[in-house]
Amino acid sequence: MHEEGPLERDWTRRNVLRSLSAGLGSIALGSLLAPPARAAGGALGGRTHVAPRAKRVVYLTMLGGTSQTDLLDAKPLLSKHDGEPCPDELFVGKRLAFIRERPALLASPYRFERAGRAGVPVSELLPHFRGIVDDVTIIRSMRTDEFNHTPAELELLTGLGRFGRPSAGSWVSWGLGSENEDLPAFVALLSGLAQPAAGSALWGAGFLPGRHQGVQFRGVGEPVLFVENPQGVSRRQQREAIDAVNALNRIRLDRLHDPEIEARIDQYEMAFRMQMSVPQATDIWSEPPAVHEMYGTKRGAASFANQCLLARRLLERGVRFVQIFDVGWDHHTGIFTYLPMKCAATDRAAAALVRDLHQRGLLEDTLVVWASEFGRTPVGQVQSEAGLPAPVGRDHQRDAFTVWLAGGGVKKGFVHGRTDDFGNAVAESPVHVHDLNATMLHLLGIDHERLTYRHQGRDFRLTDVHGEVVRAILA
Amino acid sequence: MSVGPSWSEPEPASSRAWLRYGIVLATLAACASGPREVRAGVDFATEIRPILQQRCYECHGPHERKGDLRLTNKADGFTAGNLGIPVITPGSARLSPLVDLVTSVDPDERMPKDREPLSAGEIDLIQRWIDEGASWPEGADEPHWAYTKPRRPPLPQVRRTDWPRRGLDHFVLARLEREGLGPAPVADPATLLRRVHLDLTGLPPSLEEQEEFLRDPSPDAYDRVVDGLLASGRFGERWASEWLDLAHYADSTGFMSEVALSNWPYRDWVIDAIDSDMPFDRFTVEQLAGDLLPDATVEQQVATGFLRSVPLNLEAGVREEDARVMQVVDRGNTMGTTWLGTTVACAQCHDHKYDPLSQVEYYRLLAFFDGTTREAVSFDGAGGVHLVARGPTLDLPPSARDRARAENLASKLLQQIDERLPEAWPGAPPLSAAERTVVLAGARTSGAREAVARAGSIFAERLRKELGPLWWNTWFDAQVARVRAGAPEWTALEIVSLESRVNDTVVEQPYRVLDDGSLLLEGPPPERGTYVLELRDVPRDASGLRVEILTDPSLPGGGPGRGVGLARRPVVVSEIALGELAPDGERPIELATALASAHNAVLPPTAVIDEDPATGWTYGGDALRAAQWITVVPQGGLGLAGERRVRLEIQQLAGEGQMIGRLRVSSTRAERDLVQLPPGLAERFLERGWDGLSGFDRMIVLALARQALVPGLRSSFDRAARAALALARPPRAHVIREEAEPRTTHVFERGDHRTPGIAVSGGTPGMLSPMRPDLPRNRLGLARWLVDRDNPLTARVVVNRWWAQLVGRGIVTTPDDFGVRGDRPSHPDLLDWLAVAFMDSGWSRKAVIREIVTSATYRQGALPASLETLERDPANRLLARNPARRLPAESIRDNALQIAGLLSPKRGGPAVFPPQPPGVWLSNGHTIARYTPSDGEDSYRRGVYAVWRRTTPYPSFVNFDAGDRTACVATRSASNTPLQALTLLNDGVYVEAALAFADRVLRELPSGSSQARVARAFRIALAREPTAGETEVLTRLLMARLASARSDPAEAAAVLDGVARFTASPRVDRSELVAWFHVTRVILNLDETIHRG
Repeated sequence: MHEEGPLERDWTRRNVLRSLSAGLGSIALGSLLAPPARAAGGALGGRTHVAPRAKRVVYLTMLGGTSQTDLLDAKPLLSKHDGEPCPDELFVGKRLAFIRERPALLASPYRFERAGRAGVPVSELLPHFRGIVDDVTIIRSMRTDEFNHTPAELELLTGLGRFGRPSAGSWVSWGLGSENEDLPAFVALLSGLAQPAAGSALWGAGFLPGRHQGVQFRGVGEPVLFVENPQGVSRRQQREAIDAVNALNRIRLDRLHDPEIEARIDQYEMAFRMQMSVPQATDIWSEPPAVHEMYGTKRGAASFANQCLLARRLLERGVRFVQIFDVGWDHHTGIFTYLPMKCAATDRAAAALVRDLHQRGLLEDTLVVWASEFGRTPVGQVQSEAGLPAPVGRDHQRDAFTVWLAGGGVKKGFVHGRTDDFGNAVAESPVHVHDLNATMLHLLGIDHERLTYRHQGRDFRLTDVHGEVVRAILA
Repeated sequence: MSVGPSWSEPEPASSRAWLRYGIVLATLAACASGPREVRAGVDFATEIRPILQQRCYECHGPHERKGDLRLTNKADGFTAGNLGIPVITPGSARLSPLVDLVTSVDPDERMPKDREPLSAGEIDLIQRWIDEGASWPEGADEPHWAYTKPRRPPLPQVRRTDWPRRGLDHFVLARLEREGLGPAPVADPATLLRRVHLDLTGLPPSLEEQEEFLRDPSPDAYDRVVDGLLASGRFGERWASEWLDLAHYADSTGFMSEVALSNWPYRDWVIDAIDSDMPFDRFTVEQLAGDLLPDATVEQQVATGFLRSVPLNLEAGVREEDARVMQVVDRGNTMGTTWLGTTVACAQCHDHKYDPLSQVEYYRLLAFFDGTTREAVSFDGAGGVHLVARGPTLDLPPSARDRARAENLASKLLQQIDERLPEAWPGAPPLSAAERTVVLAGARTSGAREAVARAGSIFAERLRKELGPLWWNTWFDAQVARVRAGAPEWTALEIVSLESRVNDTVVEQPYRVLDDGSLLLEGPPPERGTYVLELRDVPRDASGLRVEILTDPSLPGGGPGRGVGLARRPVVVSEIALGELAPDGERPIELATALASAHNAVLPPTAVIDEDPATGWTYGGDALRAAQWITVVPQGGLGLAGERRVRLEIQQLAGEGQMIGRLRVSSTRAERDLVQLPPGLAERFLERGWDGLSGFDRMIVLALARQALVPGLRSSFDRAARAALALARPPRAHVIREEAEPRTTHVFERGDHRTPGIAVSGGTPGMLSPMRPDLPRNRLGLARWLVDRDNPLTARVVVNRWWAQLVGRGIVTTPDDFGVRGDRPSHPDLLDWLAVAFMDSGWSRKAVIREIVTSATYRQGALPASLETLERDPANRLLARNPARRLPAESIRDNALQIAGLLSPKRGGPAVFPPQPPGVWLSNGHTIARYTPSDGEDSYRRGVYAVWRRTTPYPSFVNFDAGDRTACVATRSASNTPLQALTLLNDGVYVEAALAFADRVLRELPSGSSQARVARAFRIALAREPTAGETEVLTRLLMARLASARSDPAEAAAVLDGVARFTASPRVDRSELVAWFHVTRVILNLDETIHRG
């Protein structure tokens, strides 16, 4: 892939011709100019490496570390040995964040019931998820290299547990471009008033051109920063201001034929359209009550359910990659208090999103991903130093965790991989987070080894130097 | 997907296209174009080897020999590998397997395997090269161009001898002439003036500067402007950003639970060093090893903040060693990119694929950085072990300005003591000269806080020594009488519950209720936090509530603080708040004052009710060992109405677990001044008399007497203490220190520090110049090696970045990669000439930049001399023009504020918080983020001073491609997005700037015509006159907005109300102002405004 020099202009023959022809016409010609090239396709030039199964992605990022043994990876043997000191392999030589002394096995107190045609055991904490089991692929054999939040989040979403790399959504935006004219290709949504550990780097473009960074749509305040006109400036006045800006820019374009000026004119037009389309897209309250009922939305607050509904509206409007960040799954203490709360706040909406996409015929070519940066230990974490009734939790776990996918070319009602008897390590068909990314790109029609960007003398890619497509889960 | 057609291989143009071009050719100054060069034979060194390096070395390079084939030298290239026959058959491309391999359609066979195929141009070159005999000259195996020492080339001959202004122009022109092209005509003076102003200072030329320059016909007028700008003091603020991007300087640690870690003294050091043109070799040595210089000055130590600018991961679960190693690796990589233009990081896990850098060599580089003090240390607290930032710091002497302010404050305090002392104490001897000197010297050396503290202790000392009898006779007798009549009774209250909060999260906090009604907190403390207590059966009319802070054998050192380990730590209380709990909610109880058992002069107990969590109360000295108390006195008594339940909140935010370990809360209904006596003291006094009191009790009584006896002085002290706190805290820099015991550095297997391999010591890569034997094998030696004249990379890498900043593209277009995969220099001789000139100038940044901006190359216009130039060289590799470039994020804001007349010229100091929409900063892990925008002047400071929180950078800077400073960045991208349009149109900063700009135009031209005003606005913003067409667009807009503003005053008022902090100039008509706001807003949004032309 050719390096896009940061200060280099795309001063190609085609652009010069376009700018010259624009210059020949009158100023009024401006709004009839062809739409910006970037809407047509990304760096792959509108082609893909393989036939795409999904056109877009909605990524539910449950940050903090979801507990697989309490949700989707039932472990009867763990219940049998509940409270016993754990065997060596769960502790000796294992890298844990907090636990320092040999811990005890901690059974899940939740009932697992078989759901769907395949009879997949699902925790009672996820009653709504049971209803969509026949639509999803569950991967129980995930693993990652990092066991602290920030590095693990970065590895999951940028392919390396350090800062500086582009996020998955940026790669997709860069490679495939946008599917719409008046919304960004990559949108980041936060479900509450806390941010992920790694902050905006999780939707940052790294060394890719800045326009591929995720645009944050906010749950409170202006839906997109600076999308609202200044006080006292009407939409008509804004239009006239933009007309004047573009008229003056066009005078300069006629003199200099600099394609960057032409692009700037296009961007002002898109900005104006965004000012209309963003409030429309984000007005989830225009949806009928039944839809709100299905998602379980909440008025007046940022919530996971609201953002799921918003995500569906954005996908409908051609946003390529919507990513919801939901923090608060880091249950070192009080897990049996907080985990049910987190599930109650997210289960219904996540299931509703899959159903809703299905009903609208969008699930066929939309990939839904539900993932966390890592899992949690089957052993309990206690604060024994205090010498008091210990609040129970689970520590970080990188060697085995569970994610699920739906739509966009993955198998339906399918479980991939297996962990050992305690859910401590992968026993069968390991899937590294690089493999998950390779598979996600594959479903979008991209060969993860060929979507590369030259930076600092090296060809970089989302999967670093690893990753294999998990063919077993492809429909 | 492939290396595209280069500038020298234009695609043939269709005649139709040429017809189009013909239309504008007339508008472009035509230039004589010489005959094209006849294409010579393919050159191995410049045309073939780069292809081999870039496309083949990954598998057949210095470190890999897949299929037993290596293409790094002639002997290997012509030897049979696994194929059994040599891949190259000189003279016949057709018979060379290499050509078959790179052109194969079978993906399993085609080379490079699993990579993009070679381009048609590359294949053509290889075929021709082989057909021409595959010449692989001996000596062509010389090292990569960038690894040989630059030598000053002679100036090439040029035909147009009148064009060059500087030496460098000869190289540019000679190259153009060789291509048969010519340079662009010189930019017009107005464009040139604005360009050089923005490039050197990031700010536009003022109207006066424009007039002066345009009127000055002297040939050296431009050069004088350049000299003025370099000396303006604004140069450093503009050029620091590039360096701070490399250092990835920020004001927070980054990562989860990031904390503020502002190292602004280092940021100011960079600005000052650039402004004073500190030679780059010294600039290098001080930043990498200032601490190791003999007798290192404060500034030299501050310079090592460069190394402290790497992020620090403090999230729970990270081990000390993880955090340390991550920082060492970052430092090594940052050094590689910044000085060597080389991505050394590739070698963390394996030998570098392309560049001759082995994994062992990489760890030898890291070894130089491996011996420094840890910056994150474990803290064993509530919720487990976690890390806290605890890197070495250096307290800086206050600045001259702060010293002056501190002295001023100290003299005022001394004067008040002089004035008030006789009122309270007739016949008191005035302060002695020695006493004054002590106070003023405190101000001079350590700042205002120290001065106030010294005045306080001098005064206490006097009371103790001299005021005793007086106090005895007057105040204390009266108190004793009242105590006899009814000593204040303190009744312990029942504590219903205690909750411990860290930020907004409740954390587990076990406690035990002891027989005396006190609570003993157990287990490790949080590092900082808040206790929330609920009290029951509180007397309705209590006149005081006292928190007793008690000792206990179970606490570290016996208490009363908790802290960590066995050390005895003081308790620090930041804030205390009370509220009455009623069924329908909580009613806050206003507090009148606070008193404590002991305190120091600058951290008075009243700091706990000032609603500023940054200030607090603590104590020291002897008091450390004893129980303490702090009493809050409600305004007019508690006055409880309902169920007599009270919520007591004690914030303790000092950190290091300096929290209360055992506490009891009691109340009294005694008269207010009696409330001030500590529990039991009055009784002890009645029992034993003054002489029977312990020294500690006497101290308390004396402190109370001081408050009561000299009320005016007490308020003077309180005022001075507040003023001292408001003054800049003595700056503290984060610096690097070398541990006394060196660490052994290991190669990490697979790049993981938990699997150490062989041990290595510090050393430099073999591909580069050797380290002189007399250099120490430490950071200092490394730094000196980097700026050794024999180092082939540093000077080239540095001048190339500056060139790119000024001319739009680097001579090497990959400023962070000078390795074999990087772009080869477009003008190798020019690069070397500049690099040598840089070193010869004594490593003067200003000399190089002056050379560049005064050159004819720089002074070219944006349009090329001919369309052919554009056709043949669309990317401007040949430097046949100087195209417009978008300003960096900080300059876009600085420029708008300067145009508006709002920009503050204030230099340096702590980070400022420019206005941003609410809700941008969110909490992260345990960090609650509050963004309080700066007031007044600080909200209009230059962008380089804006706070940089790594996980949430300043939004408008993000939209204009400033990074988040989480990693070393050599070049920012320059994107063009709708978010940029929305920022300039709607961000409150730009709305205010447009309004102030409109106000400025109307103020400066109170009676001008619209045309004259538009012209002035253009000159202010763009340093040029508008064209008739431009004036027409804007006056038409103005008329429409003027009409609507007059017909709809409410709308106009809404615009003004929307920018609450803006005050229009008197005599400016409101409707006119709003109409002009629409016009100036358009001007601030122009593409031209955010570009330098």
